[in-house]
Amino acid sequence: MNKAALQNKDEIIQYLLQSKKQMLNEIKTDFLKPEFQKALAELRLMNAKENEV
Amino acid sequence: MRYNYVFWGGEHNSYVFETDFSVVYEVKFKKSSYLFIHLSEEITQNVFEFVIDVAFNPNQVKTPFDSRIGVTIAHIFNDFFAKNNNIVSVYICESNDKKQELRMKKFNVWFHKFQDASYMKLDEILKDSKNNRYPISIILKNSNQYRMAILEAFVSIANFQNQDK
Repeated sequence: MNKAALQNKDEIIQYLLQSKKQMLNEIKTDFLKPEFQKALAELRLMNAKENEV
Repeated sequence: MRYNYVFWGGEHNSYVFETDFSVVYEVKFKKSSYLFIHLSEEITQNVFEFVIDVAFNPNQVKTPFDSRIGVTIAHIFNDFFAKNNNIVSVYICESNDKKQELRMKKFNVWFHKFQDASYMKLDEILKDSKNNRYPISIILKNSNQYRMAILEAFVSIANFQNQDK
């Protein structure tokens, strides 16, 4: 991101909205990533152990 | 009672948790050092945009109300802020459907319900040149050593956006 561009008065808003949209799109695809699946497996193991108690 | 969660990192400091309805949520904190460009790097390196969304919904139907989600997000906030006392979180509401002010009200209710008084939140409305309104908030620790400079810079962004109308 070119910081100079953010001197324009609408640029900050547009950048924030675009950035948020990008992050939300990433969330839709993160689920398929191996690291995400590994974390989810770890989480489910944690939940399962708690349910055993 | 909160749900368990896991920090999996990724590019943008991501957390994951799963509800009793098998809905998987992801929470992200993305570095946003461009926001306060006039402040020192010591401050800007700790500024993060915050988002939360459903990563996987096996039922493909509207997610039911679940009071445990709010308390879980509060715990995730605490965990992330525990990494560094000078973290600043920025939240802007989506505007595609013109419901941004409703979303901010919900966010405010959540903040006031779950915050433990060690945080402060400042709200502003950014207006673009077409006079569209975008609610935006920053959350930081009361003990953030740069809080005065950050709050001043945040207000000046809002004023900057609102000028020349």
